Amino acid sequence: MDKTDIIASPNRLVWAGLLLLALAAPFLVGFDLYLIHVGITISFNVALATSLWMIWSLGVISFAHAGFMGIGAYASALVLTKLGLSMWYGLWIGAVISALFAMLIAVPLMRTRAVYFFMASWAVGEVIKRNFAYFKDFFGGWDGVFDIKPPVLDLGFLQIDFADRLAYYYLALFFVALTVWIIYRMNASRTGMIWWAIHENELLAQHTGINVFRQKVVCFTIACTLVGVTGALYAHYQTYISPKSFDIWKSEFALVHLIVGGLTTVGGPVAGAISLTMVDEALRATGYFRTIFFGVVLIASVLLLPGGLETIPARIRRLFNRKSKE
Amino acid sequence: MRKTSPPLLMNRRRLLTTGAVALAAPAILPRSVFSQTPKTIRIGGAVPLSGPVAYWGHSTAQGFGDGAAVINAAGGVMINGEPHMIEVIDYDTKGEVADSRAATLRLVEQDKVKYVYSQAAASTVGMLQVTEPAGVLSIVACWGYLDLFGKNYPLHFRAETSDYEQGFAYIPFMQEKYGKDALKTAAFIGPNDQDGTDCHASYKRLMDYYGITQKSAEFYNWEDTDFYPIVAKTIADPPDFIVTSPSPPGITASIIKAARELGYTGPISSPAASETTTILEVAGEHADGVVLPVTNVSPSTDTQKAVEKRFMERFGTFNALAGNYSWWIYSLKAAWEMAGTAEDTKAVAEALAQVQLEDTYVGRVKWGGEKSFGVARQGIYDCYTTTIDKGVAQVEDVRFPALPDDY
Amino acid sequence: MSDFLQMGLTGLSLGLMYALIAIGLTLIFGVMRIIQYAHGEMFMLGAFALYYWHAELGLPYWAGVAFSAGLIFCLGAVLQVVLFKPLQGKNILYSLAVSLGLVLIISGSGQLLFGTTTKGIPSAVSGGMLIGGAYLSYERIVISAVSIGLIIALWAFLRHSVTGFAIRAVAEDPQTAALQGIRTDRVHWIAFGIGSAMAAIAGCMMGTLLSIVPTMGFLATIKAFMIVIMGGLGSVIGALIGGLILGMIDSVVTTTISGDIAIILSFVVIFLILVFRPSGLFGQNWD
Repeated sequence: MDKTDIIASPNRLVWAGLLLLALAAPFLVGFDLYLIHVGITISFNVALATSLWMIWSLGVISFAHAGFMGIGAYASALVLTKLGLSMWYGLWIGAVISALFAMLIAVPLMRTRAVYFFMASWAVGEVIKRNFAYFKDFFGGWDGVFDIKPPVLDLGFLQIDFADRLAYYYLALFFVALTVWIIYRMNASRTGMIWWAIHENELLAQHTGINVFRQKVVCFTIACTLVGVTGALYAHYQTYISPKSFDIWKSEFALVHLIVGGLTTVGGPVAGAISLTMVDEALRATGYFRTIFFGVVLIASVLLLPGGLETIPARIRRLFNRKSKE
Repeated sequence: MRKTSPPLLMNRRRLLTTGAVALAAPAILPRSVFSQTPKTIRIGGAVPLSGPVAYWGHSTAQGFGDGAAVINAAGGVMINGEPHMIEVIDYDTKGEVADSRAATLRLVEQDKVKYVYSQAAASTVGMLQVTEPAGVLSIVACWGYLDLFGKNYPLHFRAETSDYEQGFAYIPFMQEKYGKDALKTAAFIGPNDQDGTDCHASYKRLMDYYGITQKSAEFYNWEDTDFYPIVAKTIADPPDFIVTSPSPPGITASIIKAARELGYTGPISSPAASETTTILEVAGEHADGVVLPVTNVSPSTDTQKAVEKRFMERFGTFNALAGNYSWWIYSLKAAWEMAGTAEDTKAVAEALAQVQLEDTYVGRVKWGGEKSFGVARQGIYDCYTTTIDKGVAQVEDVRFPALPDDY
Repeated sequence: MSDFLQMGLTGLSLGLMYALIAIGLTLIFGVMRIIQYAHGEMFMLGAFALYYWHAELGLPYWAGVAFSAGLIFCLGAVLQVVLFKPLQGKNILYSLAVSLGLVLIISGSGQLLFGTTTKGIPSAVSGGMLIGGAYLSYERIVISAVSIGLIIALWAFLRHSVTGFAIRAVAEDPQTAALQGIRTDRVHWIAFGIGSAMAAIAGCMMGTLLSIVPTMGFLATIKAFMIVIMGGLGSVIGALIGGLILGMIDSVVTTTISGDIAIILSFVVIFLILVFRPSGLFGQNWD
């Protein structure tokens, strides 16, 4: 994979611009409630895709990702409906349960490699989903869990009710920015380098003294923890979850965001998730063409834009360079 | 050759000019000039238009599309002597809860729709999260999820007669056809999701009401392809008849075929499979003894024939399911005219509950369920029961469900 | 006793049907090392080709199966040349993405072109027989025979024909094969075509036994992947064994316990097989 010119370039300015744009977005759309909803959906998709990208830095893609999002969502929802504790507790309980479960499952799962990993992780995702459905009394079965209320933040002098969509937008934005930031920092750190070393050549990495197995488990666990938090946020925003909310299509669409956006930098999944969520929304009124067109966009971007959206800046630069030479 | 193209260009140019003038006119001319143009009422559809359940969504959307065109052509809805035109906006939900919620948000918040229709449980659950708090009237086809229906959801109407109400028409019919003593035990086969569990619950209530013993209830996965195992388990101790609610036509046909091949001869009733051609094609000679409630395969009245003809012209296809949904919009029209408003959804909801239509594709229609749910929000209509005998499907019985007094 | 016989026979016929879907997939992976996620869509298109041939036009059934296989062979070959060839040698993720796009396009256009109503293909044979108290329809016997026949034919083709040798050589080591004068490009589209045609025949068989809708491909893909992963990617015998295991779980566990448990159990079995034999039962170790 060619990532000589992309991974090294410091894009702080672009990131700051994107964050500013996201902060100002509600003002720019004139507080249109529906568009704010789209913004929240984008946030969730960005968090899902970037944390999947983190697993990708090991060289594999996990189809259990939506399942772990479900674990976070269910944990937080049940903590509210059964124990009466608000999302401020559920969020962390969901994250911890996601993490524990991810660590436990990663030990056998990481024995499999390459294409077999996709499939083993897919089996894990299916079993998670089907357990939510099978244990009706505890998880509510296919019926799902209703009335997952959004939290209220009581600062003493100020009360913020997150049932308000604008407030939830900023809450989601905060967490997604945090997720992306954590992944960005991890990736730029020495640990991130180790993961990419495993990605490039597992055998070689092992021979240079890297404990490949431990690194893999650690990376998988962190990614699943982050997606567990996303799941909790998702549950309290949707106020309703069911096993079907976390099926294989969710993981697959996260993968599509990743591939269309680009695989080598954290900017890839962010760009992919933002653009494709908007495309999907724009196509809502078109019926069958919604799926057909999505498929066309996917194939076209793989074949005509190898490397994804993240390569566009470099392409433009190259275009200008060529022109100036002429 | 040269002579043909200029008129076309002229035409296009003229069209563009007219269009531009028409667009610019409201900006230039005072508003009073346009007071003659009728007002519009917007109805939004949050229905699955893509994905595996697109069939249901399109059938529902066709009913509204056709109905709006018919009503508009006849001068629109007359509210307090003023004509209102109907505009229908459809958004895809993929048959998913979260996506349906998004579609409904868009309808309510961006398109300012006050009336939303939906189809199937997942889309309905997502839609209801939005419509009821926003004071938007909703009209859906959804069985089960009875927690989300009744007094606490006064603006929520379930237009499609569910498997429960149907039972009060097709079970008496079957008792007459096969004899009461021949139908003492029953078994249930349904999907293992919420739809299946809910339908099993209403099936059980029905069996209790008619004093029929339940032998077994089996649930399959949507991923299953072969129904031999599940049918073999059901008929290990053969029941007098089998109910396959709410299995879609393809699965029902496979269940019927498996049951017949494994030697089961009793009647099989399927309250959700309205595609008789599918069942005949798949099960072939095995399809005899199949009872399909609320399936009108042969339109007989003038209204029914007219619906079939219009759908064929407008959409190129027609199926009994789309016919079953074609009356919804007319009941809304009657409610608007009765309430004298299209703005106050509460008043419209009160009026809609009173609406009775005499002549629709499904015959006589009214809203019921006061005693069961606290409000009359469940659509009840004539049950056209089709049976298959010697490879031919025909409507054998038409009757209004004989609902119990405490319904 | 007859209960167990029925379970066994059902499981066997089901397993052979599953194996037929999976075998094309394993061939495609073995030769090209790409994930063909739209394999189920080939299955669906094959079934619809037969539907239009046999049910709509009234032409003979078995000629329709051959027509469908030929048509999907061509479609598969074209798809390989146009879409998958540029991805040769790239990460497996790209082929997954392109075929996922194909799934969306084909199933969406299928709904648009064929309509969304469920359809059925009239069977070529009817009736059945009782074996020791268990019922076996002639239709299932025919389908099982077709499955076995095709699996043997494929095996013999790979073993004994020149093209079969070339396919195996490319599967073993594409570079060395190319150095020996094998036109790998040609082998690729032939293998892709054969794999797709196998799916089409499976679609014809299953479509006749059950019913057909444009969205049925996804389920077939799921089953095919479950089997191929169990048996090991690229292994024909593995696909057969995997199909039989899955068929038996579906039949025996559904009949004795319940469908929920059957599907959870099949995923658990897949997971355990992969954990203890990370390349499936008969697979080679791909990286």
